[in-house]
Amino acid sequence: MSVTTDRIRVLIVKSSLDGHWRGVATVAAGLKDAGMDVIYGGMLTPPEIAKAAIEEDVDVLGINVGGRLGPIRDLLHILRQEGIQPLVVVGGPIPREDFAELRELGIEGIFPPGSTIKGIADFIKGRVRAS
Amino acid sequence: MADGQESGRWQTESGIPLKSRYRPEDVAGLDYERDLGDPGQPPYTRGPYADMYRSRLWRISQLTGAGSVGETSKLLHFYNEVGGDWLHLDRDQLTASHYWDPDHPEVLARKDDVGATGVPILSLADLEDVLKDIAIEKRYIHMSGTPWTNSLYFCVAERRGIPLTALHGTGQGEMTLTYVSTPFKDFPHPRCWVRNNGDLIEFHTQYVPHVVPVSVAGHNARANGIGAHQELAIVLANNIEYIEEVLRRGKLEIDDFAANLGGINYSIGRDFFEEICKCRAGRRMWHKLLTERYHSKDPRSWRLRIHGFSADRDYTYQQPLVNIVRSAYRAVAAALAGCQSLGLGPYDEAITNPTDEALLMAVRTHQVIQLETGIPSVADPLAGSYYVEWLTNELEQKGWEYLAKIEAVGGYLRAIETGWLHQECIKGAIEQEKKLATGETKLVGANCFQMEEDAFEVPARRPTRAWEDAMARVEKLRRERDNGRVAKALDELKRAIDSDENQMLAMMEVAKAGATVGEVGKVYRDIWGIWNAPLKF
Repeated sequence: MSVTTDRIRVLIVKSSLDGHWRGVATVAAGLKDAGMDVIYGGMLTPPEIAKAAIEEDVDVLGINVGGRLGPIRDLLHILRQEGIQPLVVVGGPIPREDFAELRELGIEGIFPPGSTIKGIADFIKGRVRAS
Repeated sequence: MADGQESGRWQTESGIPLKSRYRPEDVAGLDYERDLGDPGQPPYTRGPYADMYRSRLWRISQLTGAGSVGETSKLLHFYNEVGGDWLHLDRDQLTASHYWDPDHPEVLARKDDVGATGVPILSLADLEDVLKDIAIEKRYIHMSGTPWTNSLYFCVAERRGIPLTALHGTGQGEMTLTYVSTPFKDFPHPRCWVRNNGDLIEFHTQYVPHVVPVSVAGHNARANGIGAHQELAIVLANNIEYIEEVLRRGKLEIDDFAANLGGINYSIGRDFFEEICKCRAGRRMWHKLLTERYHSKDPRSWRLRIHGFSADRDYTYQQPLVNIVRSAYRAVAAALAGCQSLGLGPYDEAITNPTDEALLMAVRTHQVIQLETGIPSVADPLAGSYYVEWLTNELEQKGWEYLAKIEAVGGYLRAIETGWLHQECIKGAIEQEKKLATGETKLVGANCFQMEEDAFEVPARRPTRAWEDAMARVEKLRRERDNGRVAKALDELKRAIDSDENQMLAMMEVAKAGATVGEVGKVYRDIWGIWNAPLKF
């Protein structure tokens, strides 16, 4: 991954049509405070998320999962096809029993309710700076 | 505790500074008759009815609905058997709430999500099947409060030979959820909802007198991050928008419909006394609004009835069974506050759409407090407490101040259209989150007393093939219905809305003809244009 500026670019989206935005608002604000550039994309379909990630040339894709994992599987498939590999982190009310499947999909940044912004920011900085 | 001595540490959740004790001089100006009155007497601070829970306990109202129509029908029977008495259907967000059919591209892109947040009721046939074997005339029904959803109920009643005057229930129909708290994607412009609620108020007043047409909700805005005083003001501001809409039409006078507007929903959150005092302040404010601003003459218009909703906003994902304790304290607060009905967030709220076990535990929590604690014996038992009366006054004053702020930006609708209200919520959410991060606000199990391995694992509800089921049902309907009749009914709906007629009769024909939610959504979007919440963060 090429980081062209010092600032990490993050696109935050919702993969579901569940409109609760408190989580994405607070994470977006927290990551900005942690020195990142944050773009909020809204409620997008998997192809729209991939398109936005390419257009915005982001290092990180933060996805609020308000439903099931189907859209996440679809999104990862599209990202592979497009040949882009942003760091994907997910948050929201994701049951623990889904963590194993997310890890199998290659997603290690899983942040359910109660996660701290610092924990999310540290995870992102560790992964993006390391690559 | 050492940190307890810091200044600013002792305040309510909404930021009202607290002294360590309250004395007679803190409520020196309090006049019993003017400011409190007996329960059932103006200004209704102490409750809307004289006997309160002696005449009727609060209604147990749990949101139910998940997966397919068949799964939800079974769930409703379970809920019924364990003692739930208010039917409150949770609708699928993708389809039923967004007014999109299951083959809309936005839904097709997320088929897996259908049924995860509620049941896809997409046509009259769906609601008939969900309510199969349920005697709706004997139940208190929560309608999600739109011309479409209420028409579906009315048509179910009509087909069963039940007169609309025999229905009892509440419609939600508020806008904070739809346009601020969980704003929908590409939704009809907010003006559409003001219009719809005006139509509902007129129609219910005339034909469905025992169903509250519109119950404005404070809960959802609270979940976004605003305080108790702001919630008081937002609920009033939303109601004012509807009152003005109906009065502007010139067909009804304030006392023709205000009694039915005075059923609202408040969040009952973590701050025990603040939430109790908020309910007391809210009743007094409603009385003032109706008598002083609208010159209402009918006491029935002055009584605010409150549906409490235990705030699951600070339920924890970690150690989820601890949420049972949280819900019980909120239920006690609602009982002491004199709520007429109450919904408790089930303990697994932060993880999943409730499992049967979590739903059962919520119902049992209500029942224990209703039947074992003695709380229902006496109305407004906290009245006269220096602290409670002082805090009630504080919340009322701050509530009026915030209402003035909303009116200064142009009123409730303008506050939504411009994104002002969204920004207010975002500010609040970020501030609350900072307090959680620093530990200034404690959340047991989440930011203190955490455990490496979670002590209580709870399963998630897994809806089965809800999209496939919904799609098959819609396809069958499209095949079997009279498509000419549907097209004619939708044209008539469009004409009624365009020509400022009440849309309810046209909508009932749309429902009976076998139209789907997506077809109704298309009419609304064509007329009003689409709108997305101006969320900036």
